[in-house]
Amino acid sequence: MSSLAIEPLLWQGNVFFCINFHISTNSHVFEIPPKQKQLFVKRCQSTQFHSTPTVFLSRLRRFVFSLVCFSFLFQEMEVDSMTETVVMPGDVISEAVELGKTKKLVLGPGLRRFNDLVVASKAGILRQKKNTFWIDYYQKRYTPVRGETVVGVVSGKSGDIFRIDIGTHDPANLSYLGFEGATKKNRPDVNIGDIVFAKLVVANKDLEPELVCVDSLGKKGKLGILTEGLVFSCSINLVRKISKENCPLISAMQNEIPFEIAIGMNGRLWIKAKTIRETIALGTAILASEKASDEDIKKICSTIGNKLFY
Amino acid sequence: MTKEVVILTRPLNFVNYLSRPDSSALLSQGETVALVAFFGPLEVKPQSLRIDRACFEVNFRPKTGIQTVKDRFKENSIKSICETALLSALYPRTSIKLTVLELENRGGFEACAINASCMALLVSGISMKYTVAAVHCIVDKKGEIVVDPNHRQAKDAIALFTFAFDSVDKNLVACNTEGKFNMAQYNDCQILAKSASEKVFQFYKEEIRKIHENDEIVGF
Repeated sequence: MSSLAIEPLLWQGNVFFCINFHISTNSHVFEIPPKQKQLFVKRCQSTQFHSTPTVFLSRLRRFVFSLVCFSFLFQEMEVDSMTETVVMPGDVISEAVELGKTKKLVLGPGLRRFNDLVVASKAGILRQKKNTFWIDYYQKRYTPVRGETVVGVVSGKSGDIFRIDIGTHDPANLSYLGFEGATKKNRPDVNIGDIVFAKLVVANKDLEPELVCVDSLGKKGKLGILTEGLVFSCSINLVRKISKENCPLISAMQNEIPFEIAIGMNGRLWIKAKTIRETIALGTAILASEKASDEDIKKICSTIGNKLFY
Repeated sequence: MTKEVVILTRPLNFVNYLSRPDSSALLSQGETVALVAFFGPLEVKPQSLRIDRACFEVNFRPKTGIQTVKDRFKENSIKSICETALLSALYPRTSIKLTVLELENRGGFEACAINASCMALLVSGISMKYTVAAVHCIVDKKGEIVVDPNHRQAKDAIALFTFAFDSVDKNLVACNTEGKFNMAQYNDCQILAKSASEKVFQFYKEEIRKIHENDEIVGF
């Protein structure tokens, strides 16, 4: 099993301070993440540790072990925050090259292989999660990715195919059979100018993107034509931010106003609330949250809610 | 020659100023200012369609009036410099457009325009091989070399140089010269400009850091 090494321990008044400690398991040494370390120091300062040194040590041990268990869990879920470096096009990602020698690498957006090296091709922040590397970069123009859901505008009809503008250089194709329950006789009612919420099934730089409005079981789910509401564009980073699991924006807006939203990964959002006034207010809240922190987002939403109803 | 990094005398400033284009760069280098708007990848006209790469266009707009031959020359040099840096093979059958606007020319405009174009490309999130930094320098009447001169210093220049370097191997990408100079002066200028280009690369990186400063991790 794992062993615990705590060093050095300082005795200050009747409070233990732990400056630096690490846990070693059979295979590797594990450092406590800074957040947990802070928590630990806080716990040390609280009264429950202030007894005899032996009792303290046993409690400490138990506490640290619980932390470690948690930390391992966090490690699985959390993105490695150690690598938050800015990379520029042409930079060699030495961490990835090193890791690539022993493990299989997964290279995400912004990285490419060049001879035996891993080279950045975009300017942004390098992120790492286990053996997966990618770059977070600022982007406004959409490049299609297979499996992503997008909001598009029907820009043309030609025979069996609808042309959908999704913000890419080529309009995407949507077959009339891509709708739920559509047959040759029973054609869906789609007109030019309609808003469609669809999924990309073909996204390749050499091919036109292709959309469907059904899932693999032939059910439409949330996909399909969006009626009424308002569509507006924003940067792709904002879309990624608000579609994150722990982003407080959507829940904060829900507290103020009931609404429907379709988030297209192509930087287009469709919103529908009861009134136009509310819809526009929600749109403003979303656009304002691009550079805002979580607390600020909550503030923005509550001010907008207050302004609307008083 | 001295080995230490030559510091650009004029300060660099950057803003992503326009909201409509895919990205933009308002770059000032001292009193020289260029505004660049970037669009792409866009739909391509059939006559300029290329099956294996993106069609890259640069449109240079002078301060006043219509384009002259000199402007076309600048346009072409910006185009060829940016084209070497772009990975346009990743965007076949598209077009990529840069509009370069001359706002203020107080010496070294070409260098400023190249730097602004590169900054616009960086912010747009398009794939690139490397970044490019351009440095302007002169040889004055006394035969002294001034790196990144202002317009007062540049008034009595006998030779003007604009060098562009890439960020990976620090090789010379492009060079425009004007006036009378000898080989030794040219070599000196190139070495000084190369060391000054380091400053521009640092500036790029700092600006990208600023853009992402308040970012949280956008994972999957």
